[in-house]
Amino acid sequence: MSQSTKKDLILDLKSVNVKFKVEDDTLHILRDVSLSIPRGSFLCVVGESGCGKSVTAQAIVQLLPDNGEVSSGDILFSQGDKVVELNKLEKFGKQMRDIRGAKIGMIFQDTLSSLNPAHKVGRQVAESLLQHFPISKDEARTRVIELFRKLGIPDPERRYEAYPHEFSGGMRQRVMIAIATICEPDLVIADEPTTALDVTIQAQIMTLLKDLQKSAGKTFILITHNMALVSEVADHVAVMYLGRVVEYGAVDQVLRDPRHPYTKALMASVPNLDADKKVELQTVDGQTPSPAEVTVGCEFAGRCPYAIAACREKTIEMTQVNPGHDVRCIRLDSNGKLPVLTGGA
Amino acid sequence: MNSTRTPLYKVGQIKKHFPVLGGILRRTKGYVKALDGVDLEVFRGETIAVIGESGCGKTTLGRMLALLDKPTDGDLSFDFGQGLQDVTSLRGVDQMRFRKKVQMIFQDPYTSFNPRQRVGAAMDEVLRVHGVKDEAERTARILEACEMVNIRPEYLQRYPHEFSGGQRQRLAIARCLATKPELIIADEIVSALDVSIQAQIVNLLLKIQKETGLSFIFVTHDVAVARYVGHRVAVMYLGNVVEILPADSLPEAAEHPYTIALLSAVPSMNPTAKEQRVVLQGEVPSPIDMPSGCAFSTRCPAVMDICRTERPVLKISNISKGDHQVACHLNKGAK
Repeated sequence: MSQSTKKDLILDLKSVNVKFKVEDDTLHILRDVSLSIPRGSFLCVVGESGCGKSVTAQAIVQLLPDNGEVSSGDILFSQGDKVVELNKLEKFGKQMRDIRGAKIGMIFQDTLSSLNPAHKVGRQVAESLLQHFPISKDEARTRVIELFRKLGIPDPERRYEAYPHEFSGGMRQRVMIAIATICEPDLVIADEPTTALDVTIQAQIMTLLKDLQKSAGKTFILITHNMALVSEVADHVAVMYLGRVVEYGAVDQVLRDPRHPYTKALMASVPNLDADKKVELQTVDGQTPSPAEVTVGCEFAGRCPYAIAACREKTIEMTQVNPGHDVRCIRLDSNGKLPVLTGGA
Repeated sequence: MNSTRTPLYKVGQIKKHFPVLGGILRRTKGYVKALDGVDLEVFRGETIAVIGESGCGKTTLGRMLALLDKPTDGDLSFDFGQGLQDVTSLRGVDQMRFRKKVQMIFQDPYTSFNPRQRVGAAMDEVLRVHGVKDEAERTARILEACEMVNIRPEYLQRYPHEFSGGQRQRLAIARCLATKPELIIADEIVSALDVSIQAQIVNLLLKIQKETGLSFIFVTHDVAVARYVGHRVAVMYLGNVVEILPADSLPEAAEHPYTIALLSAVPSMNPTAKEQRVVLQGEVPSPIDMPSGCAFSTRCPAVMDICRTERPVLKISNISKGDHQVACHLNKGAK
């Protein structure tokens, strides 16, 4: 990574809060999420279901469900030399529509429901080009076929005319990547793009995304729950738990030397091909609480073996343990280490 | 496994071909060869983890073993206590006796419980169906099973939607255990769960096996989980078992080019793994028009002429011997 000064940030989230109205309740789904994403970097957002990682992506591109809204905070997107406040734009206004798809590309997990089954895939990819650029249909077609070829879709001329159901899962995901990148966006947000795919196909898709980052200098935000995948592709990683970023840093810092009890637990609970089988997988007691139940203090306190009374008293702030490595935990000592647990954990 | 021991369940050259219908007359146009000659032996107290990518036939194999589908061809024999006995022709009472011994757990525990029935009643029903007439005994068995999976007895009065995914999966396991089976076939039971919950279920299965000596067939797409829970791992590709090897010897001992490629595609925290990665080109061929010869020959980085014409059979590995079997022409001179 190049030294990224403040100006190099392509996206800057500042204390973003998202609330959802559910019947009579208001659920606080994102809590003060701050993320700074340097241009050309690869950020992974990890966490378990319900931690708010997908909502973060939706909030950035203003595609939150109708009952959700960014209640406070700023989402700053730098476009050339000017900075746009995404959250101030009208959701389906012209400015937002010009950014969504053209400047920020999106890839979703479920390809079959993201593609229209009644239209040929080539047309669906070209649609985005025609929407954003004043070019002819033939020209769009040529560019789509060219991109298909680059993305490793065999026989692209024939595939242009095919329907989504005629593609395999891996090929459909390549089409999704084509839709996300055809307009040459600066930023691509991929929400669990390979979760539904087999590992051999996942390896192909990840190689493809990584190439796009390196050769075309694109910025990626990858949302995933797979820690090992993070270690392979990411430059930076943000670990989320119940709507809050609990740990953030360069991938080497966070994965080799996790500090937050939740990050540690998350990593110890994944079976690894290189790990010793005799070591029992670590489990996190209990389950993620519902966002409706949360009161004060650290969200993880109820399941954390290190929790003390102070953890439940007030909101825990992010503290820096190393340059660029921030952790939201008050149990770390001045060296940034957790205390040794006495007695059985 | 020791060859002098008799297996609990023996699968011989089992095949399942689903017809593909086409045209206005819905004539059979061809067959999807979901299973194309699989041999497998399951011993008492053993967990076999079956791995493979989507469409490799691992789920079909599980369903076949549980007699939920009839094989097109091949033998299935189970040891009820008096030696191996054919089970494909079992009907009525005899088949019920088999189902009591061999239970299945599915990926989605929500759809395997009736949403309008309390979970306790659902468990009770299974026992009644299996002929446990004494109510006190049924209750005792249910409570025992719940204790094994750490579900509090008062939860039995609740409905399925009141539980989390992990709890529901534990209940599904308890429902199985209550019938006192000898073999549990678990089809992707941790795939839909978050990793921390997945770890709870995996640890639970290992504990149950230690305590009860049950056999498990654990179908999964996750190689790391398979290695963790299995004694032996069977790798499937396009309806064939291409390699069976002791789980402890993974990943180093893998010999079949497909197993090696599959293992190397698994994302790893280990930086050297990236350098040794074999990225497979293309995709799994359609099981309707299977390649002649070795099913993997179209994508294999080590393909030879013989691979395209002659199908390799599962033989004891030349390198690691013993429990390790490979179906590959590279495994030369093997018996």
